[in-house]
Amino acid sequence: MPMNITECALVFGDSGAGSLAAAIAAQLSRAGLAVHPTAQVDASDRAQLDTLFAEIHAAGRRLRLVVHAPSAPTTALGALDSTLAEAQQQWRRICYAGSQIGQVAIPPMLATQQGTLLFLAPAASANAAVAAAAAGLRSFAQSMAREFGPKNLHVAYLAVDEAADSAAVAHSCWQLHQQQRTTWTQELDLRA
Amino acid sequence: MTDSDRPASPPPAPAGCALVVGVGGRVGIGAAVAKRFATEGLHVHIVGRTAAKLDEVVANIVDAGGKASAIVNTLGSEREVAALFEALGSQALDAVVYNAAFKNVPRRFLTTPPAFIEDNWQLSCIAGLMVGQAALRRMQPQGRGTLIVTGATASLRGKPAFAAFASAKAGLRSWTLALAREAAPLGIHVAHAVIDGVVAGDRVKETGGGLGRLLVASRGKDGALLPEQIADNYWQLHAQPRGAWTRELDLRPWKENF
Repeated sequence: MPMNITECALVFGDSGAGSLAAAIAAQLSRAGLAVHPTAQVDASDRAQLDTLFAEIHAAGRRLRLVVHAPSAPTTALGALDSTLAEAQQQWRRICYAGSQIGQVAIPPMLATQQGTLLFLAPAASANAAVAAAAAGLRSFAQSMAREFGPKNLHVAYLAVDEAADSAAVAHSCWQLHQQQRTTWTQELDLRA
Repeated sequence: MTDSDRPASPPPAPAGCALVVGVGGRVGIGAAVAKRFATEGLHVHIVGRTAAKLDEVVANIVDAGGKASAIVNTLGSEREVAALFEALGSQALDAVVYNAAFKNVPRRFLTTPPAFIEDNWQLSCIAGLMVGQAALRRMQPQGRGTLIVTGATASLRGKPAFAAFASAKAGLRSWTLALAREAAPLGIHVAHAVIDGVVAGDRVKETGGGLGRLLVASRGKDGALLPEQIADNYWQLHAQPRGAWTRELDLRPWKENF
């Protein structure tokens, strides 16, 4: 196969050693899908996303799978005590970033009539700001699935227990990407 | 069960005031709730962006023998929300209804501007949290009060063309249910009302150059939710004894599709 049409995947999230995003990237690489680096990209910044996607396009890579795996803070936070700044920060990196990833990733996938988008967020977080942002992301994933499923794009939302093993979560991400379209999962929960 | 085991509700307190946030046209959920709560003897403060519309709703309540006043506020910042509660003075705050939402207009997902997503979140979600937090802080020393938040079909389901609206409403629902858990031990009742259908109010009638009217008409007899009947249900939520509080109430016309 010529090098200039390599299929590739993108994984957004904290990519430090031991992180969920790093585990997912490792799983995809093992499965033979090239993972385009995103470590320096802030997915809530549209300009950065546009630059990244232009770069992928210029490299002649075909985007097959995009994963949004924001990290989950484990600090408990009540709704009464949440500050506007905290609420906004979690919303931007979990929910809004997911909407922006969808907006930039879907057009090239529609062009090839193929692709998978996986949106991960913490399940039942004890942090009310994270829980609300996750609910907003889940809704975006539903809207995208209903609109773009019939166009052969598989959109799924994964509610991930904060204590779940990263490698096991990565395994399920790969399984979702492998699903055939007569039996697509739109929502999957993963518990420890 | 003996009388002493019975979950006691506090003795009825003298009527204070209610705050209804998100009042637009004279025919709508906000206006109908304001009128209903005023009928029960509460002084109702109504909050919206347009003074002329609010004045019309106030006049309507006062003409019927109720007490009401208008507060213009766009809920655009923490400071604005704080000012809203300062405007209430020292009256006991019995109930707060959050009914504000960014106008629900269809948008194709891929061409939805980031600012539209953010504006939806600001008004349909986070302003609701700020109002809810301020309401609960105000009610906490009273040891009683009710916060009702208006939800929609979109609170539970995301759909093409309504992605930004649905995401914001899902976020608001999450915040509201979290507030409900935290408020109950304080004696404060928080409920999320899922309005699961078309409301026969001014907002839908002003939508899409007659399309909204057609939508209501297409539902046939009793096919759209009437604001007065939604308001009756909000009052029932407020009147629930604390031994059995509803945290989420769905309201749907008899023939709305599930």
